[in-house]
Amino acid sequence: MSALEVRNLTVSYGDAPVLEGLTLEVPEGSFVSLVGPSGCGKSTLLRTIAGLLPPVNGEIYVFGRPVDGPSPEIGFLFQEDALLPWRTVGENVALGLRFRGVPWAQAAQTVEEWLQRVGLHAFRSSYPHELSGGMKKRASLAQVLAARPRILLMDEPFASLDAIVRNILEADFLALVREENLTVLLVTHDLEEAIALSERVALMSAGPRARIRRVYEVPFPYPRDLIRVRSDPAFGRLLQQIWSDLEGEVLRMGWEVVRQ
Amino acid sequence: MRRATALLLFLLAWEGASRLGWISPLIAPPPTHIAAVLLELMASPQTWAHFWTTVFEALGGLVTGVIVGGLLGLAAALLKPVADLLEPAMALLNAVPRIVLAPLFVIWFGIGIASKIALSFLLVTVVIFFAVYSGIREVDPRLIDRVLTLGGDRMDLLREVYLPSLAPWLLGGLKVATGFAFTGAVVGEFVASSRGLGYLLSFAQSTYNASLTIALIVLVVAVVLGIFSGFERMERRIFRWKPAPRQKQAAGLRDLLARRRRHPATTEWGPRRADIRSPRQML
Repeated sequence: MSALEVRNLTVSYGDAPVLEGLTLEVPEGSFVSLVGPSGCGKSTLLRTIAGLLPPVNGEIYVFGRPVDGPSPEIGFLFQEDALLPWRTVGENVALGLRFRGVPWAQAAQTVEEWLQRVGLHAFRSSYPHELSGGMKKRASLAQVLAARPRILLMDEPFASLDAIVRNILEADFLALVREENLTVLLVTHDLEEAIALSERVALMSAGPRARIRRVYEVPFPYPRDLIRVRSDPAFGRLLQQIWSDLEGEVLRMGWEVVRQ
Repeated sequence: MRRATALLLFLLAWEGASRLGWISPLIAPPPTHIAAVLLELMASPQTWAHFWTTVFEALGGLVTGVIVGGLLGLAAALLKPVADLLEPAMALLNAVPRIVLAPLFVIWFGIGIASKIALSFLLVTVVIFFAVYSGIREVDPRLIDRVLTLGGDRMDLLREVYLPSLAPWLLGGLKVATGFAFTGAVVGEFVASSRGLGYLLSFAQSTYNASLTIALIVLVVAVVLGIFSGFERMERRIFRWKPAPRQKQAAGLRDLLARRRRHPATTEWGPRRADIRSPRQML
């Protein structure tokens, strides 16, 4: 069964169509990255799948059930840290469990376990403003995963971090989701990150009326060494290929290309 | 400590200047004399009857104003038609010196306590309305998304996001409103009354009794400061989660003034400008 099935999806802001006739499938337990020209509607797609935005047309199924609003089955990690500033790290991680009415003793145990796993157990009683950017990210991850989602949507979660923290966090994160056998859909603007982390990379066409243009298979099995994988010749070839398709997509829309 | 020393020096200078005859005791009687008058005032049961009248009026206006202003603010923030109806009226009331309505209220509600409570109520309602209205509208939408995607319902949203976001606005508003509540009561008494500290004040003023006037002012200021410090203690308890500099700021009365200018709930927890990095231009 597919963890996520998006069929013929159309989403508009007012009269402006952002996505039109978009179809995407994410198999259970797989890790798919979504890349595309900026402004093509990647974030819009994620928000729609999360049930935060109603589609104009089309269907979204998560584990066979149609999405009609936010659900605890669908975890969402935002680009910005959206921890509640008035709750301690521990209380933040417990939120999803509390919303579901999990008894406190049991929730506390789960929280403790997750804080251990993301390496924040010493910061259980700290408030978010006392944490660094990377720590906030870890806390957000624990918060989302503690709620036991079956699929994890991520909107450029590592974009605001510096390169070193980012590399460490990516590796830890990948290990974690593989352990949990989580299905992941990651939106990123970083092609290298997309290839390094995922099994498949889906390229979106330039908006408006964006859809999935092509899906690439990433030829590296898990577990991966994220640094070593980047120096593999196959990595470079795939990067080159996605890049040229992406460039074509941008040029086709007559957009200015800024080479990196 | 430094502030206490400064105050003491000021009082000493005043005392000296007054005793040496540099300033007329009719204008500024020496502090010791004022203190004597104040003690005398406080010893008289009559004063306390006036005192409690004013406190009752102010608190009556404060409580009713907070309830009504809060509910209206809530309604306006959640229901668009209510906002369309209320916002212009409230903005107008906010812009004009509401005190000018005092004589009208005397005509409407008589010279008893009702007209003072009404004036107090009006002053407070407007302040609290805007505190609640803006507080709810300024709620960080990311936090709402967060709670929803974690499986929270409307009650969870209210408890976890709306109320805590509102708290700084409400407490800031409450402090301003307390000052306004007493303004309403005392000014109402000035205009027409037979009881209250404002009545005593206007009596003291009409007899050119500077000592009594200043003693009464001290009394009014003392009550308001007492209530303020209660709010500040509450604030420090509630806002343990805020970054430390903010907490230190909450401590001083001096900052009350500063706080009014930069409204309490700037998005403290929002990303600072320097933290937002633009995605690479191309992708």
